[in-house]
Amino acid sequence: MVAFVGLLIGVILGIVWNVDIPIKFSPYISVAIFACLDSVFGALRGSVSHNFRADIFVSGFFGNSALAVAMVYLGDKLGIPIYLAAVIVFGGRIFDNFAIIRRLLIDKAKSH
Amino acid sequence: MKKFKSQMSIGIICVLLGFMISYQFKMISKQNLATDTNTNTPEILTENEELKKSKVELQKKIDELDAKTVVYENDAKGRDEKSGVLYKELEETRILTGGTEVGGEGITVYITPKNDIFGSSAEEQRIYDSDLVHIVNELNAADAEAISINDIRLTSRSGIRNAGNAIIINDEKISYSKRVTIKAIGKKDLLVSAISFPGAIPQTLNDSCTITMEKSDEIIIPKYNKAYKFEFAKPIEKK
Repeated sequence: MVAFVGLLIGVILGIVWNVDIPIKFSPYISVAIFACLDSVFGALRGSVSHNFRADIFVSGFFGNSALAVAMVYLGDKLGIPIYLAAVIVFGGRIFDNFAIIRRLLIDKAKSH
Repeated sequence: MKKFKSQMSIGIICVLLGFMISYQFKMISKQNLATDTNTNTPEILTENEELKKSKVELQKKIDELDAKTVVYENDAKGRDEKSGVLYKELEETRILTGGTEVGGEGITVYITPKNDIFGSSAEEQRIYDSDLVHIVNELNAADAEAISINDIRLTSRSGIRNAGNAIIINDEKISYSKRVTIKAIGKKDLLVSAISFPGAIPQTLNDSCTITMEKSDEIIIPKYNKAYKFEFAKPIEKK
């Protein structure tokens, strides 16, 4: 519930608030979003399997995105697209987490 | 208390995530807009805007002057029979040189670039200048009386050629990765058969684009907006 309200507020803020982030940061934000989505899916999985811990979620959220951004920056400087690694890993994990969530939810539905 | 704290942290993080996602969406759509006009830096963007504005204003002036000429002409043609004939001739010459907007039966050909599933090559060149020249040539051969590409009137002095990342016709740019509309006025059945004749449309264009055409009784082709200037060609007087 809190999450949805927060998400809604965030989306509205993003649309209404005209904060000026330079365009060159755009790829960083893209990768950071992906990292954050990964932690959100991790958190969803945690809450479905009843071992969700807020501290791990928060640290993962910021840690993942910071690491992803750092990797994009490094790749930019070295001239190799390291961000692909971030995209592949996070993408894979999102699918993994989703698969587990799916299984848990279906098991739950069946046991009722 | 601990529960409240964790709930709050989740809420704040969701605010952040939502903000980032919507902001990024906004940025990306803005970027796409910017690349549409083939400008990336804000200065060029603003300059472009200003030039567009001044173009509209100048166009208004041209329209005003045109309206004035029409008044004068109408005045002149009513004077006597001779000036009436002269006026008719003037009108015909105007149609020929593209100096006036014309309407009538004809066809519209749409060249729509096929979408790439992977979308990565959205800026790839799909339509080549030679394709357009070929189609225009076919239309001309089928007795088209007036032709326009994306509402740019083609005249006897129009060139169609690639330049940079666009196709330039009469100094106006058209994108080679977006839909191109060719309008032609003439006998519509003849035009349709000319365009649908095998080989009339280059195979490469057929591969990269979907080509559809529409017959219509009321096609309007705008006028050519520039003045002709003859620096070198002079009529030769016969003795």
